[in-house]
Amino acid sequence: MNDDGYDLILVGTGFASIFFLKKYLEKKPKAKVLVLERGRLYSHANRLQDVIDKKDTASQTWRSKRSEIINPNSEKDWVFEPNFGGGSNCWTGCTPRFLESDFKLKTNYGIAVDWPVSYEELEPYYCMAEEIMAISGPADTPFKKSKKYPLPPHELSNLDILLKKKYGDLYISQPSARASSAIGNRAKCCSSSVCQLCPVNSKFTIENTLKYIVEKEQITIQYEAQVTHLELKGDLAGAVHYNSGNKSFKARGEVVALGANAIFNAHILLGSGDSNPFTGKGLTEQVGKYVWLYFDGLDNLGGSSVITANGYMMYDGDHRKERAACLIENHNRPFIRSEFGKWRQLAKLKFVYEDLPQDTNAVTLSEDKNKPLVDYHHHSPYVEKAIARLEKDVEKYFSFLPIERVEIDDRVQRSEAHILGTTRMSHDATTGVIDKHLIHHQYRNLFVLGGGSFPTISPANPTLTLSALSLLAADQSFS
Amino acid sequence: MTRRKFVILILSLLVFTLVSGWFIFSDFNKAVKNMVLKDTGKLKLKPGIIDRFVEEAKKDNKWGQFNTNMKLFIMAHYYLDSKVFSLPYRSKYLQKRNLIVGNFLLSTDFFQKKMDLNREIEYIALNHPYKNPCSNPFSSIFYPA
Repeated sequence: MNDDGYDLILVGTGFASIFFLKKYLEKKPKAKVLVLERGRLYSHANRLQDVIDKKDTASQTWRSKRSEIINPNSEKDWVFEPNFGGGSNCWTGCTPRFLESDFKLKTNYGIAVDWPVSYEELEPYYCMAEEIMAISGPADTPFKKSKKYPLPPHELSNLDILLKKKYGDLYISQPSARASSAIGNRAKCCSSSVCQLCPVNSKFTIENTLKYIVEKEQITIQYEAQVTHLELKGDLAGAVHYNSGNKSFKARGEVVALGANAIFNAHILLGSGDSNPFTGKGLTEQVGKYVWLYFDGLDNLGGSSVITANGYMMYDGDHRKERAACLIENHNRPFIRSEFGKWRQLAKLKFVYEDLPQDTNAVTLSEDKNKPLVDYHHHSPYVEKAIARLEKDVEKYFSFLPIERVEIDDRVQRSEAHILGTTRMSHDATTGVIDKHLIHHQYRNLFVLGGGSFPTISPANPTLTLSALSLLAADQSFS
Repeated sequence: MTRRKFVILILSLLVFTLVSGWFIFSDFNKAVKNMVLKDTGKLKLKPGIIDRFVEEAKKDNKWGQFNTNMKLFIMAHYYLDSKVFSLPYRSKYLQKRNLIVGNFLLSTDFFQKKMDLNREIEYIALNHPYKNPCSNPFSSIFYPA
């Protein structure tokens, strides 16, 4: 134990931080840890009550936090939740794994870069993360699995069943942290379709499953503590400086782990004088587009969760040499079509595209030292090429259904609520910020956790992968 | 500018002002009621339930989800669209109309009773996923595999 400080100072309490802390404490059960949380403990029960009492609409709707960053791009939102549990409070609970090829875009398709970690290395940690979150999922998947999902898959809708029959293992019940049966403190998902704040506490959150970790005796958690910078000296990160209330504080840790999000991790590093040329660069997220299918005579009924299935028909293949992979989601909210006799003869699909990180999209410092400048211009032509053929792709993959008409949203979504790629991992400091154990190439006691580590982003939801990476990092870095 | 062009311009501005003013001062709730009445005309509704829905939606600020521009957009389409003429972005309008009429029907037992056209449709409560969770009538709770 470090007498004049902490063995570990952990910044943030979202997925990346708490999964890291869980594994770290398994390795070092007596370690003294300081956890710095920027927000407060805003419990699920209080959020629900506030939504019912109309005191809080932010939890009810999926909102970007424009006041906490400087975002000059009016077309683009960045969604995050700066309170205990981070994104686990507002996520939808979609947990597909990445495909093996997502880690090898350069080798397989000659574009972007390979990850310094492979699917095979990460696979046991995917299993651990799925166990912790009690993921519901099917037996057969497009990615290799060494263990079954802890909970059975969600039921497919009758539309899904037709698509499953046509596309086999390329169309699956979506792996999800929305429980298909009650487990622990979580109820069974009943498809209320407002996952941003689940009315029955079904989806995995840090609060409903892992809060006990920060309640351990040797953990000190400081709420409303905003980290401003780290003291970086030589090859080490020393003290962590933070503000709480109107006061400034400083704490020392043998190890420091940044687990804010990809905007704030990069901002803290830049504010600390990190001179790695890639820090802050490559801000990326997936690009989503909705498509409505209006059917003639086919009612879209059944399914036991809000997104019932994932389609992989447009995901992997040689097309990735020139255009983005796409993961399809079948949404199952209680939408209708206001036409007599055809009330439910429609489907709402979301086509989610990967993007390639571009250095021109970056997080930088601003004149306000507490607010990062999020300088995001546009997604890449790699996505545009894929979106340009969406109409053809819908025709190709869905025309066997009795479709009356198709409507494609004219705009892409303002956000997919995934902030990725500002502290990319790489084999060495000439090509990235951190190594495969999420340790900064220069400051060897500094972990930079979360989705910022992704060198490429895949069209799949990132939470499971970033959680698995935190488990791997803690497991392989401490004995 | 010729006198003819001037007169046309003034008349156009007058028509535009009158139409805009009419929309601005029109009651959105009245448009909602008319939309629901029209789209559910072939259903057997228990008397008074549309009024009850409109009143409860108003009290709950259900349409606060639409800003003023969106309300004007919806009303403009509702009142001006016809078989021979439609405003731009009609599909966007239809999505909003689906949402409004959907909210009404989701506040009744129509979908929960599996769209049975032979029975009279009852009002349950204003559709609210937090006050009435687990009520998605299209889910496997109502349509098990």
